[in-house]
Amino acid sequence: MIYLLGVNHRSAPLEVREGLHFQREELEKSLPRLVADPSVSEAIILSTCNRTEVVAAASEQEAAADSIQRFIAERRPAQVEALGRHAYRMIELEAARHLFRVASSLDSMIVGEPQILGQVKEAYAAAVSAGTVGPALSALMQRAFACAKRVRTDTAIARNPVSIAFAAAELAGKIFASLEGRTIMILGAGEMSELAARHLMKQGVKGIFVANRTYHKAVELAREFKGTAINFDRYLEYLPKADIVISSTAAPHYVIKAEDGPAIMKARRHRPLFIVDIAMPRDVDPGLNDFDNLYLYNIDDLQTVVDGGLAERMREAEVAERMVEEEVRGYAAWLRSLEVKPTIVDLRRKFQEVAEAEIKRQRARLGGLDQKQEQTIGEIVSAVVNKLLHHPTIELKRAPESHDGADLPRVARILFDLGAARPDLDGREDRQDSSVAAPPAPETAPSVESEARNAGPESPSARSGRPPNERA
Amino acid sequence: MEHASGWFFLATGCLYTVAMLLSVWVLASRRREVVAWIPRLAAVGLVLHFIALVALTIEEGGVPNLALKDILLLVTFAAISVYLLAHFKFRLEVMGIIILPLVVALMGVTALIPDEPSRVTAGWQMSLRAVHIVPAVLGVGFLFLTFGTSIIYLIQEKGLKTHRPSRLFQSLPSLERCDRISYLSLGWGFAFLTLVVFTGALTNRYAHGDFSWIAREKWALLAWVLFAVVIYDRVFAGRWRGRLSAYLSIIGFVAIILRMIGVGA
Repeated sequence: MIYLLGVNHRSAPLEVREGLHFQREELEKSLPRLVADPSVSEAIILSTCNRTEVVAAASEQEAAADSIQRFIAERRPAQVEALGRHAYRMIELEAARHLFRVASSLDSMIVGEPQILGQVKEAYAAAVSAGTVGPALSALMQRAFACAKRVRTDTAIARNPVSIAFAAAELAGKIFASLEGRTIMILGAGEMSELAARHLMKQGVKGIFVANRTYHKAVELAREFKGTAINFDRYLEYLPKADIVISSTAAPHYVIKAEDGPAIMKARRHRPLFIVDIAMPRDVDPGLNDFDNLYLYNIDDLQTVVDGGLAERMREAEVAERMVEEEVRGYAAWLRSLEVKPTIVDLRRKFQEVAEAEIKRQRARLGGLDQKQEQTIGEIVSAVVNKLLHHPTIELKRAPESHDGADLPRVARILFDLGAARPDLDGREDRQDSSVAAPPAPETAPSVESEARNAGPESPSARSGRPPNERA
Repeated sequence: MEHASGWFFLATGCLYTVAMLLSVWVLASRRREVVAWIPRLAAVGLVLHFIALVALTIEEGGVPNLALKDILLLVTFAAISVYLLAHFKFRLEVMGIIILPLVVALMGVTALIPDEPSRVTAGWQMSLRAVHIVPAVLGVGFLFLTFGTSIIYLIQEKGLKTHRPSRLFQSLPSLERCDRISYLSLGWGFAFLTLVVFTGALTNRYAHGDFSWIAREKWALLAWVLFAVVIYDRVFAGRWRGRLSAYLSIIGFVAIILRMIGVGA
């Protein structure tokens, strides 16, 4: 079973999250300690500034909870108490859903932020190199990655700007086909305009004019961006050469007036001009926005775009939640399918055993039989068992995909007294059981081969030891 | 529908309709999983469309006679080609939502028109028809692209101007890109349209011997003048660059469509 214990930015204050944080090197060292406990077979720890989550594959819920608790008591003694108040604990599908939401950035502070998927992948890679990932978690993580990828590509969740500088760059990208080779102008050197300029430079802006009241500051900034410093009283001459203007002077009046509009646009041959006014009070006459092909945004307008972007993310998040739900259902069906095979095997063994025991009991009454007759009895028994189990086998195989038959393996186990389910994915239980019939497996170090074989096609990484989805 | 071409056209129309409904659904539901199927459906439709056109030509035994139905079938073919071009070459996915409904509507119109058996089969008239029809279809095809990009431009422009980017903001291309593609396609569309007007005038000159065609072709001429104005402004002044050019292009395109379906002829 999957067991998850975690704290995030909603459940725990910063001090607790800080206290529970794990660096990657430490993770690789301490993860093996966690799976040394017999109740925990696999473990991954995801630790970022907003969350620490321990995901484990375990045989029993309580034992797993205890050993994770012990692990944290050992490594983070100061936080054990806080854990009781701030940690959430989940199992099975609930844990899977949570993990899918985390990877898809639906559980993030800023919904849709792109870093989290990389962090989840890194946590997985750390666990893989620590050797604490087996088939169960590997399958779970692959599905989490697939879910995140689907959310990212099939919704617009990550596409809307969430900061003012980002919004300005985004708007510029919707006015101009590309920012490469464009010219920008900075009116008034300040922290904000510098930040915005840096943002734009990254996108291939070619030239930059800097105009500032104190000329030496303009020269300084121009040197930093490899641009041209211009005298402040001549900025209107240069303005038509710029495609994007960022204005943040300390002037008490408008620096670019509405009257300047026609001349500027004519000199530009009416090519688009994007003016960002982040000055307080404003630098640019709002009337300029009425000119065709001139787009003027002040700080409030940018904030509106940012808010709109956040709202849009929320709406996209709803779509994404539905996708996560679908992925969880897919995972559940897959989990159920794992129970099918052992159930069929057990069922056959049970029938065969009952039949053979009965023959053994009544054998004496048949008297002496020749070898051929003995063989025939054996064949009859096998044929009866096969015929009786033919239809149940088909139904069981079909069970994971059908809605009303999803519980069939469990029902079959109860009806025919087959004992508890043993998904063929969990190597540990398999080993314990098979030690009766097959040569005993070594007690230490789960054999990678047997796990890889049991894992099925969903966990290609079990053998290679490398996260297969890392480059996706 | 006793001819094979009829069935092919029906299948084509169905595919375009499904593609259109799908694009509307994607827009409404925000689920993008099926996006890739829209151009695929349209592409299969286009192949059937082509087969239908060939079948029609064989059945009728000649070049279409510029009857309304033939023109619409050719023009919708060009429009879908242009949409697929825009989708795959320019990555303008949203084009589907603009062009597909228009194509479905025009295909619907063709279904309402009874067949006209008259065909021109030989001689100089046939050559002249071909010289008239081929550029007409190509020209209108390009103008579909102009129309689509102009609409996208106006949506995007409005959002940027009012500081309230539309819901589609992220999936729409930049103003400059729309403007560029729009201008480029308008240039080609205008060139072909000029040829069409010229050959049309010639045909009429021979057929009727007067200039009455000017009155009959008022829509086409209006469109021609509007496009000429847009191009002239772009080359020499740039005064109407952007919004106004987009409006003029759209009006011109609508005039062309009106001319085609014979409104006020």
